[in-house]
Amino acid sequence: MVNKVSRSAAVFALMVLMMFSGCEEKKDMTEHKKDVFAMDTYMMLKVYGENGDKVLMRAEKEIKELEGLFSVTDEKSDISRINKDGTAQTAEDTSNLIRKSLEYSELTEGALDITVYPVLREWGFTTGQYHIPDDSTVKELLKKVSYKNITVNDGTVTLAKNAEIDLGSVAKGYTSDRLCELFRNEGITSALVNLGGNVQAVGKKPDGSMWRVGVEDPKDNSNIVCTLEIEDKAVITSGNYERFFTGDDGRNYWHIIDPKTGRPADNGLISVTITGDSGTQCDALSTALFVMGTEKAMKFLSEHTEIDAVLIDNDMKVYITEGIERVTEFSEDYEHTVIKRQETA
Amino acid sequence: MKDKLKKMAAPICIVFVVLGCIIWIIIQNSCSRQGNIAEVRVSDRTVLRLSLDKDITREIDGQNGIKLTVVVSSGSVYVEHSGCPDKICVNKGRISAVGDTIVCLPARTVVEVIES
Repeated sequence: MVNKVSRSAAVFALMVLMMFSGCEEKKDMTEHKKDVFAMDTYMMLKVYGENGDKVLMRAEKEIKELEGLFSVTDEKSDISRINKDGTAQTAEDTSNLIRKSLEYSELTEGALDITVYPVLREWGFTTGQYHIPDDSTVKELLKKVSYKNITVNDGTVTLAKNAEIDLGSVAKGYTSDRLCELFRNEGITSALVNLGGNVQAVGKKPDGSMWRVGVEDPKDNSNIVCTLEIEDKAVITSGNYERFFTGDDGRNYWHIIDPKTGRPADNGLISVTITGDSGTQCDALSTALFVMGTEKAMKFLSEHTEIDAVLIDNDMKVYITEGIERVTEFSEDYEHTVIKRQETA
Repeated sequence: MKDKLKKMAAPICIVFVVLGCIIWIIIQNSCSRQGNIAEVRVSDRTVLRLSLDKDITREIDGQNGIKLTVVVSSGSVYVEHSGCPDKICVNKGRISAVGDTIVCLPARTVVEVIES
């Protein structure tokens, strides 16, 4: 019996040793990180393991290449050429992303619409020359807005009715997908990218724990509403606090434009966080659900179990899909309601 | 004596395991959350590292001719002043947890809290 106790003590000592060695191992893990300023935002890339610096160099190159294709200000970009000439042969990445955008436009019944660009520009969100356009100007510009004005045949993109496009609502999500794909192909098993608040992870943290991503209080970014634990997932937020200006009338006007009204989407939600396997999907749907507003977004989420979400409305009510509850840590200051999925409702 | 040890073995193991878990959680938290250095990078180049244990004010030359004033005070770091137009970096306020960042996009400058 004494031997048994001794064995138990030995096993316990071994467990403790393993715990401590786990922490030591984390310190010894080689972290490589890179700041990249591109796509009009700040990007932080972190990878762990050998050859991290080389992989990060390739990642930066990839970002710059995608920026060169998707930019609306670079005259040589695919998007600029399409907007200028109404049709253009594009790189595979460009046509792929436009095709995916159209799929999400269909799925969300036009809540996501990459042809809203002329209206967005009129408000000054792409130029920094912010102003409130008059109703007649908006009405005129809305005639150009419809994702149905876009056709993609192989690599050729064509626009009808003088439409113009901007991939700002999906480009960073697509870029994070491409970066994570690059990391995996290079044998990286642990990485995190943060492209201006769009977060995507490869695997877990080097110590084996999940990545933790906080969802900010949209009215006070020093507070965290909840923290999501993720592995091989993207977490992307669209909020009315990210980019806005205060008009002469004292009201705030934000950059997420409702394609139906041509005005900043104001349908009850002030922050929409989507988490799922694909950065492109999360980026597209965070914008679309913000535009939809509380009721439609909740209905959408009840029917689409492939993503999880945290919605925050004007009254700071928090709604969360039931699948994500178990990997979410809530701040005590915020009450939340669970959005039931259709299968289990 | 043997019976007593036999009865005690399981509870002792449970207590040890629980204690071990508590120690592990504390260690994990201290490993992942404690920040003691503010690293300042301009265009991905580290230009300054400041200990959060010592109050200090430093001027930084960011990109595009923009100057920033970085202040360490009471264990946290913040940007007191910036020549950038939007002041997002200044409005970010104080940071102290590992991984927290203050970004000045026009100056291509990042202040990040790290562990030494």
